[in-house]
Parts: sequence; C-alpha cells; structure tokens
Amino acid sequence: MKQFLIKIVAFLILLLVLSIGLDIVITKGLQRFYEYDTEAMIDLRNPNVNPDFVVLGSCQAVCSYSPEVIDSALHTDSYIFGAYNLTLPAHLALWEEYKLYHTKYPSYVLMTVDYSDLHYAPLKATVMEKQFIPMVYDKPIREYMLSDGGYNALEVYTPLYRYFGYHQSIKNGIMGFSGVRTGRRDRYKGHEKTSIGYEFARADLPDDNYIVVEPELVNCLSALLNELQVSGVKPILVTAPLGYELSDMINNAEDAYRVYDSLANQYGIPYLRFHDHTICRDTAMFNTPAHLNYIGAEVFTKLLMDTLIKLQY
Amino acid sequence: MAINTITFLLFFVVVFILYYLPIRLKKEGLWQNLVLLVSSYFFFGYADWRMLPLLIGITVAYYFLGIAIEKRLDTKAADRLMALGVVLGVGVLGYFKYLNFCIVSFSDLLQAIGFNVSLHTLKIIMPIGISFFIFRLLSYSIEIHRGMMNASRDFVGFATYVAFFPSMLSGPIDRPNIMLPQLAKNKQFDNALATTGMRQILWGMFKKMAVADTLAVFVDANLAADQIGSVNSLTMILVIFAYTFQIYADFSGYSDMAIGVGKLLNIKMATNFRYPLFALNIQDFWNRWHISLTSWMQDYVFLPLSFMFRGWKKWGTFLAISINFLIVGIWHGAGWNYAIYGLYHGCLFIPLIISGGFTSNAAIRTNQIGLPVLSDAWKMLLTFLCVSFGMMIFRSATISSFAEIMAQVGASWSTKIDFGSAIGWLLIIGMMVAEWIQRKREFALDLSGIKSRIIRWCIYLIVLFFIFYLGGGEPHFIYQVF
Repeated sequence: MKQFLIKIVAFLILLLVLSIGLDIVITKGLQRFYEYDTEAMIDLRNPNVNPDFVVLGSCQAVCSYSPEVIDSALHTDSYIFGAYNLTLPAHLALWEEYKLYHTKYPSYVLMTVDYSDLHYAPLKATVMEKQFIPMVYDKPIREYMLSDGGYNALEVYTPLYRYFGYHQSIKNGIMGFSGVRTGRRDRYKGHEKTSIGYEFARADLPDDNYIVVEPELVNCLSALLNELQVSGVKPILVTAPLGYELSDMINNAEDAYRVYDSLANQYGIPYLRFHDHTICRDTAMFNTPAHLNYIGAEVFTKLLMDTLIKLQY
Repeated sequence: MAINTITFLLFFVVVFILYYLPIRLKKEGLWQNLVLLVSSYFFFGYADWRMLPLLIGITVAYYFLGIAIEKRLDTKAADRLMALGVVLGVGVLGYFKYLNFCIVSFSDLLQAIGFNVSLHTLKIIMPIGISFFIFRLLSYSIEIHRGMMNASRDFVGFATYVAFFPSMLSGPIDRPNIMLPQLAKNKQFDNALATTGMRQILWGMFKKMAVADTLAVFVDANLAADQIGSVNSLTMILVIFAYTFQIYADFSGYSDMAIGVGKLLNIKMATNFRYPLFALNIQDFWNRWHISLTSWMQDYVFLPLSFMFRGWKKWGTFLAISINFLIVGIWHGAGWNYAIYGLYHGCLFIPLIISGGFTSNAAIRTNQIGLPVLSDAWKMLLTFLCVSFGMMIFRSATISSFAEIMAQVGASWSTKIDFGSAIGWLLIIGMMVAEWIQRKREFALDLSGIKSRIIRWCIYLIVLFFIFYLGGGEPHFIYQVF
C-alpha cells in the first residue's frame, strides 16, 4: 500500500502543478478575452482607462446610459462599469477592485439602482456568475465571491475547479492566453445598445408582487457611498426609467425608493428619480420593461444630464 | 450520492482508511464487512433514509430464508420456501416499481372498453437500486435451493453482499457464490489490483463525464418534445446513433467506476460490459452488454424455460427467448416501451434460431492491419443498426413519442445536417478506437502493457483534461433510475 500511496501522491502533486499552470493560463486568458460583460471588467482593471465620470450598476447601467451623450453634455470622459445581474455587494467589490488598479479616481460615480437592488440574491444564483471568475486572483473579488457571491472555498481556492463545466470559458481562456482569439468588443465604453422592439416577455419579471428590503443591502449601499466620498468622489444616485407595466406589477417599490431618498439625504448627494418619469409610458423607448433601447438610452441620458447640469453638483 | 462526485470521493477515502486498518476481530473479515456494511447503509440512506428499513428488513428475511431452505433441502418444504422467496422478492419489486403502472394501465384498459373509472395511483417512492439488490437476493435463495452453495451463517457478510455500495446504484448484479467467499476473508491491499482499479475508475469517468454527458446535450436537444418535429431525417438518424453511444458510455462508465472501486477494496466484481458495440450478432451483443443481467436471466429464466419448452424445438427456444427478453425489458422500467423493447430484442433472435447459429460463439476475425474483415465489419454495422433502433424504443417515454421519432426519420431528407458538437463525434471515434485496440483487455485504459510510467501518466493527464473540459454537468446516470 505504501508504494501505491506514494504513486498516488506523486501523481496528485504533478496534477496540482499542472492545474495551477492551466488555471493561470485560463484566468489570464479570460482577462484578455472580450465577451459580453467581461469587456467592462477588463477595462475596469486597465490602469490606462481613467474615466472621470463612471456609471455603476447592473443591467440598467449597461443599457440605459449613453456614454456619448454624457461625454458631450459634460465635456468629460465617461465609462459604464456595469454588468448584468450585479448586486450591491458586487458593486462595492468592483469599486475596491478599481482602486487596486488606479491611482486617480473619477470625479463622479453615478450609482444606478432600482426597486430590486435591495432584495438579496447571491451572484451565483443569477445567470452571469462566471464574469467574476477571471478576477479571482484579486483580494476584493475573492472576498466578495466567498461572502455574498455564493461561492465556497473549494471553488475559489482550488485551481481549475471553478472552471469545471464552463467549456466556453475554458476555451476562451486558452485562446485569449495564446492570442489566437481575444473575442470581440460589442459595447462602447460599457454601453450595450439594445435594439428597438419592445417585448414584455423578455423582461426578468419578479417572482411575486412584493420586494423585501434587506437591511444588509441598505448597509452595503451606504458603505459604498461612504467609500466613494472618502475617496474624494462625488456619488450620485439615480433610478433609471422602468416600463410602466413592470412598475405597476410591484406593490411596494416605494419602500426601496424611500431608502434611496434617505441615503441621499444622509450623505448630502443628489437622488434623481426617473423611474416614474413620463418616458416610462412610452414603450417605443424600451427593449424590455426593465431596459431602455438605444434611442431611449440617448433620450434619458440627455434628460439626466440636463438635470445634473442644473443642479450644479 | 453519485460515484463521480467530490462527496463520494470524501466518503470513499474514509471508508478506504477504515477498511484497511489492521483491526482483526474474532471472525475473519468481520471488521472489513462491518465497515462496508455501515458505509453501504449510509450510502443507501443518503439517497432516502426512509427506505433503509426496507433494505434491512428484506435482508433479514432472506438471511433466515436461506438457512431454512438449506435445512429442508430436497424436500417439498424447500420448494415452498424458495417459492416464497421468489414471491417476496418479485412482490417487493412489483409493488415499488410496477404497481402504479398497473393501476394506470388497468384504468386505461377499462376506459378503452367503455367503463368510466377513476383509479388513484399511490404515492410510492422507489428505493434506489431496488432492481439490483432484489435480483441479488433472488439469486441467493435460488442457488441455495439448487444446492449450488451453502446458506450464509454470517449475517454481516450477507448483508454486505446485498447492500454493497459500489454496485448499489447501477450494478453489476454480482452472484452470491462469487461475492460471499470474498467477503468471508480478510482482504489485504493488492497494489496491482488497486492500480488497475484506479485506471478503470478513470476510464469510467471519461466515458460518463466526457463522452456520455457531451452526447446527451445533442440527443436531448433534438429529442425534446417540442423539437422533434423540426429535426430532419439525417439529423434524426445521427441522434439515434449518438444515443446508442451515449447510453453505452453512461452505463459502462458507471460499471467501470463501480468495479474499479471494488478493486481498491480488493473485491473482484463481475465484468458487466465487454465491448458490446463490436458485437457480430444480437446474441453476441447480449453476451457483451449488461453481462451480469444477461447471465442472471439466462441462468434463472431462459434455461429453465428452454427446458420446459424443449419439446417445441425451435419454437420452444423462441418462446423462451421472448419471455426472457420481455422480462429484461420490463426489469428496466414500468412502461409499455420497455416491454416492447424487450420483445423487439427477442424477435431479433429469430434469424439466429432459424439458421441454427443461436448456440455458436461469434469471434471477430481481423485482417493484416488489425481491422475486422469486411464480412465481420458488415455484421457489426448491422447489429449496431438493430441495437440503435431498439434504443429509441428504450428512450421514448411513450409509444407515441417513439412513433414520432421514427416518423421524423422518414420525414424530411434535407441535406442540412445538424451534427451537434464536433467534439462529441471525435470522442466517439476516440473511445471506439481505444476500445478496439484494447479489446482483448478488460477495459480500454488497462495500460499494464505500457512499461513507461511517463507515457502512462501522460495518457492519464490527457484523459483527465477531457473530463475537466467536458464534464461538470449535474451527475446523473441513466441506469440509476432502474
């Protein structure tokens, strides 16, 4: 048995070394592979990308804000560091991640929120969990994945285990590392131009008509706003337009909006409400009830910029 | 707890350590059997603890039944006790597996002849591995009755044989006269056997996690109820072939893993597959596919029936085969498709029976470059086509869905073929080439003939890479549901 166990241990050591090597190849490769949400994540970690106006958020950030309009209105350089299905703890982790790679911070960070952001869901339970995996070597992301991200220690610390089952990611990682292919940029400064053509059925509809405001998520948003101010950044809270059909479905959305109001007062920052603007009743502006299409994004961003300029914040 | 999961690995490491502890109790093999028994009950209870009393209860019943039969051997009382054993086993299996099906079928029959009845099915939970452990118990009582073995006086050893965890989920169905003597001894760790076991586990994992699970994506996508109508003929034919490879890789993969685990415990289990896709005819196929079930059926169903119908000559043989395979079919599940699957395979024996080739042993002939001669290659292809067709009956939930699939085979002969993922077909080719080259060995990754450790380890790493790259789906074995 001794001989058998020695052989097994020797093989496992070899396997571990190769696994670490392959893990590095795939992870580094994915860090260079542009695909869907990873575009923004790659640029977030690029020290040469230094926007002065940043938009943080989940799908609404990605779809509803036009960087061209922001740049033109404010004569600035903007970027949308958003990704689908991100939660508030994820935004906090992403801000910490941004600080790791940048010495200069933006002047403004716009945090786009809606009624569902204060309702808890770990990232792993959502569709887009793999977007964080290539950043697992960085402490803020690793800590987030273990706490609110829904990952366990085995998935975070075992080389290769976190890629098990993600064939496309493995393939993309190897191709990205070797330089054979690095994906394709589909977005401009993190903005996805969703198409015209409204379809209610495409929306990510809530399971029931009530949302639950989780105190820990309120604390998380508060911590993020505090962090931003401590870093010398001016935060802005915005609730972007939502299709009226979706808003009408939620009975107690105002519970969330009151929280945002309260936090805005606490930190002395603007809270701009567009979730009940007249634009919300025009389905021609929307792709789904939760997301503006590219025309709606331009219209809304223009409205938002006009409001911000008037505020002289 | 599937055998290819981290949970099972952790479980097995504990079992392995405890199993080989140098503890010797009064009775030889007792400590190791206790370890296996407790771990087997844990394994069984992990799936559903509510069924544990059933397993323990029926084990106790057969233990005492075996002793009672032996004490009354060659008397009518022994016959009655054996019949009781058969009724008990078949009854338990029938209740858990077939009762609801019978209720539904009876209700459908009554409605078909004009009686409006509303019969309610029962909420019955089917214990895992019931088809396998019941057959082990039946085998035990029959062998004692035939005088082929002595009844066990070692309850722990006997219970371990019944509940042996590596083969609990999907077999093989080991015979008591092979297993019980092994369990009666203290087993020392066998380096060579354990090494072979590890290789077999790795090969099983490759077949299951890389080949079967990759093909499953292609097969399931095209056989989904709302998709069948849009699949063209050539694609459907490919799907049918792919499913045959999928089920072979899935089932034989599990068997390899189970047998490999047994080898790590120095327990030799029955070979369950011997490269069935190289079969030359349907008899050869069943001599290579799910061998433990086929041999069980041969010994306890086919041969007695053949003897009973011996006066009817070839008709008697055909009748015996038909009943045999009907039972094989319905053993798999409670559904008319399984019965038809069994009868279909029974019918495939007709040409062999008529030609007189039924009892001859087929052997593959190869040419100078190691490939099968043309006539044998043709026979393999024909057998494969017949088996694939039958697999569709097996897979279809209902007769109507099978009819729908077959209708699509002839429906639309567009040249636009959906091959699914190219890697799936490459894996099939790779698996079949490896199995062809290694067909004289117990399994394809038996690399004991390769002296260079570097080459062997490189092969293991390549296999592991494929498992890593293609695996990762939810662990589920097709035969687990039986």
